[in-house]
Amino acid sequence: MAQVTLSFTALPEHVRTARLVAASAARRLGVDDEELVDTIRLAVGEACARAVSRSVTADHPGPVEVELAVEPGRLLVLVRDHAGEAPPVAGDSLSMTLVQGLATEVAIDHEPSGTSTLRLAWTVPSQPPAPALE
Amino acid sequence: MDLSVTSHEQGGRTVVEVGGEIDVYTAPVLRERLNDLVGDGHHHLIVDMEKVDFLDSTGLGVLVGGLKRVRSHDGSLRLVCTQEKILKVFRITGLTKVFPIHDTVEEAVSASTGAEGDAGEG
Repeated sequence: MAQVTLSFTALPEHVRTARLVAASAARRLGVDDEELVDTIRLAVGEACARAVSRSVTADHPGPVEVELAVEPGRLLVLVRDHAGEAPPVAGDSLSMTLVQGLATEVAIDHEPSGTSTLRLAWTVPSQPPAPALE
Repeated sequence: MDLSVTSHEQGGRTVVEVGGEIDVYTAPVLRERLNDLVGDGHHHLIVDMEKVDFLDSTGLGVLVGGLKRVRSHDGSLRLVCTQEKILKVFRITGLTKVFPIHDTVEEAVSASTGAEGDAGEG
């Protein structure tokens, strides 16, 4: 179940907002490694920019939706657009190369309804074990 | 302002100092400024990224475009960048092999005039 959800009109100017929300949410959801927060910011930014570019190319107003959730040992991010069968945008392969290099898991789902979901996941350190009692 | 771009001449090269965030929203501004510089005859560019807080693939695309444009005029484009969070973006995409990246503007100017010749700027 998503713990933070953001929805925005498919315009480039809102991608920065999505990055800032993702970084803030990641910290609140338990990521205390700043380098990992930075990685998540970059990956979510990239995924949102891609969703916006797809929407603009398809002349679709959006929204683009971002969901962040944490489960034991994993941070999950979904970036969803409704651009449908958009033709590949210029720079898509560079964008996806970057995303794949940043996230532990990457997957894309296309639905017949025209919704496309990019799933990203990171392994996050679990809680250290409680000290043993003597 | 999310992005600032200024330029000055140094050692016969044009140093372009970029500050702020280069992303899908601001990258078109950088593209336009680089195109203007090349159009005005500045074919040996040094892009100083030391004050850049964020760079995404759109920004990379603009830098690659700039590199291709100056090369079509027998020019050059070098980068100055010591920030790990920015270098990471070049590294993951393999673009560290495409751009000469230096630690300081002085080093970049010196390498540029050495390698590309002391042609000077128009």
